[in-house]
Amino acid sequence: MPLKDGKAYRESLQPLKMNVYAFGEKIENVAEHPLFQPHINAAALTYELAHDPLTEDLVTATSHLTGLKISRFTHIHQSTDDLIKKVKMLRLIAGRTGSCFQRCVGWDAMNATYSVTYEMDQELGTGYFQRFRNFLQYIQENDLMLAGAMTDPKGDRGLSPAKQVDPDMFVRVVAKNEAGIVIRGAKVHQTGIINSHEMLIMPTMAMAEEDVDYAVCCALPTNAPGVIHIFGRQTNDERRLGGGDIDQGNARYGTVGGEALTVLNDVFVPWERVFMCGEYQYAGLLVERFASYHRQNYGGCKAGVSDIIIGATTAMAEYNGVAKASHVRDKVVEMVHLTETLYCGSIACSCEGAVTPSGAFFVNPLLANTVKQNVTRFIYEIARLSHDVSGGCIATLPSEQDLRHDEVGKYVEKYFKGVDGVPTEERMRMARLVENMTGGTALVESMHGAGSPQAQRVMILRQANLGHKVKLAKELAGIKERDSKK
Amino acid sequence: MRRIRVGVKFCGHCNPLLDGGEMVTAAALLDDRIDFVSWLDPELQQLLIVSGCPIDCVERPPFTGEVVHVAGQRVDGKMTPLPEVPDAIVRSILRRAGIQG
Repeated sequence: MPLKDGKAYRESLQPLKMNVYAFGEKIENVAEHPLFQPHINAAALTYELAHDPLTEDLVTATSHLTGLKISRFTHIHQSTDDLIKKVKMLRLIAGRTGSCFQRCVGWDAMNATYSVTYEMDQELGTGYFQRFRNFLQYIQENDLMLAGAMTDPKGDRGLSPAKQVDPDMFVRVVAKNEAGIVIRGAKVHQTGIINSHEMLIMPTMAMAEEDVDYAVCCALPTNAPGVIHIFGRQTNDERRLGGGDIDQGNARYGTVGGEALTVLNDVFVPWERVFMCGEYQYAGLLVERFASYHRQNYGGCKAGVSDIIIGATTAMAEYNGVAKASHVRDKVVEMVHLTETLYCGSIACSCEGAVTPSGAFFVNPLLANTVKQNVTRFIYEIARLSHDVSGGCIATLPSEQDLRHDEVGKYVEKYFKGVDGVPTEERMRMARLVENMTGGTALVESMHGAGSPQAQRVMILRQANLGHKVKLAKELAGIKERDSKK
Repeated sequence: MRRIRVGVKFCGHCNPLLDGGEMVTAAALLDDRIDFVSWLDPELQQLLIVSGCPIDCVERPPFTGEVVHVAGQRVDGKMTPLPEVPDAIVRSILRRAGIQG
C-alpha cells in the first residue's frame, strides 16, 4: 500500500466508528466533529509532508523489514542518524502546526517494544519479538497511526498495582484462553487516540512478582469491542464550536494533542498481538526505553513550537511599537537561547545513542531525561517572556464577534490598534496565537507530558555515575582509597 | 535544443536559513533551458541538492552525474548573497552542461 496522504488518512478514520464521548454526548462522527478537527488536521499534516518534496527527506525512511519507503513515524531507528532525523522532523512539523501532532507516542512505543521483546526472548525463551515484527510490518505497510498507551490511572501512587484497593487502577490481564487474553482497566492522557487506528498498551512502571497480571504489552484497534474513549477538555476548547477563527488562536491545529481517557472493559486481544504477558521483570525496561525515547522528542517538537512563539512575540513587539527597545530584544534573545538549549539536548542524546541487541538504536537516556527536565522549566520561562513582551491584551481582548459587531466593532478596531500600518485584526490574531500557545493546557503538557519532572530526576540519578564523580574529586583532593577489608 | 533535466533533492527544511522551494522556483523562472524535476526522475542529467542550512544533513541519493550543491547560502561551497542564490544555481547548472550563461 502506498504512503497515505492527508486526504487518505482522513478517509481512513471514517469507517472506524470509535466509541467516543465528549461534553456528555456520544460522538457519532469523530472525523467530522469540529471539536476534533484541529487534532485531525495536525496528524493529517504528518501524512501530507511525506509527499512534499521539500520535507520528504525527513518525514520518510526506508523500512529495515521490507526495504520499502515508509513514514518515519513507523520506522525503527537503525542508526544515530535516524535518531537525529527524528528530532529534526519533530522540529519541522511543530514549526508548522504550533501544536502536538501526536504520532511520536506510538512511534516511541514501537521502538521500545521492538528492542525489549528481543531482549526478553533472548533471556526467557519467549516468542514475542517475531510477533511484534509482524505487527510492525502491518503498521508500516498500511501506514497506520498508532497511539502509545502507557499511563495508567495509578490510584494511590504510594501503592503497587497489586496492592491497590481497586484492582483496575492499572491495566491487567483478567482472563487467558487458547485464543488470547482479556484485559481490563484504563489508560489516561491518551494523546491522539481518538484519531488513531491502533493502540499499543504498555505497563506504566517497573513491577514485582506480585504484579504479574499487570505486566502486559499488547496491541488492539482503537475501535475494539469494550473500548470507550472519553475526550479531555482543553483550555478554551468551546471556542472551536462557535463562529469565527480569531479567538481560537490556532484554528487549524489547536492546542497540544487532544487527550482522552481510554477505558478497557474486558477487551479481548489475540495472542498474535500480545508482546508481554506476565514477564514482570521486563516491565521496568520497557518503561525506561519508552520514556527515554519520548523525552528525546521534547527538544525537537518544543523547539518547533517555540520557534512560532518567538516569531509571534517578535511580531507583537513590532505591532506594539517596542521592537527596538533593548530590553525587548534581550528578552527575545533569551527565548532563542532557551529554545536552542532544548534543541541541543535532543540532538546530543541522539548523537550519543547506541545500538541495542535487537539492532535498533536507543538514545543516551541521561541526556534525554535532562532535555525533558529542562522542558518542564524552559517552556514556562519562554511563555513568561512572551507574555511580558506581548502585553496584557492577550488576556483581555474582546471576542471576534465584538470586532465584527455593527455598533461596537469600531471601538474595538480603534482602541486595540497598535502601530500605524498594522490592522487591529492582525494584532488581535497574533495576540490570540500567543494566548493559545503559552497558557493553560499547552503549559501543563510541557510539565507532565512524557512523565512528570520527578520521573526524570529518578532516571537522571540512576544514570548519573556518581561513583565516578566522587573518585575524580578524591583524586584531586589527595584522598587515597581505603582498603575496604580493613 | 534539448532541455536540461535537473532532479531536485531537498533536505527536509527543519530550521532553514533559506527557503529551498522558493530558490528553485525563482531559478526556474530565470532560464527556460532547464527543467527542475523530482530526484526520482529516471532521466536526470544533473542533481541539485538543496539544504536549508550549512549543516547539510540531506541524504544523498546514488547518482553518478554532475551535482549542484546548495547548503544555506553556499552554492557549490561559495558564500552567495541570498538574492543571488537562484542565479548562482542556474549558472552552475549551465556550466556543468557545457553551456555559456
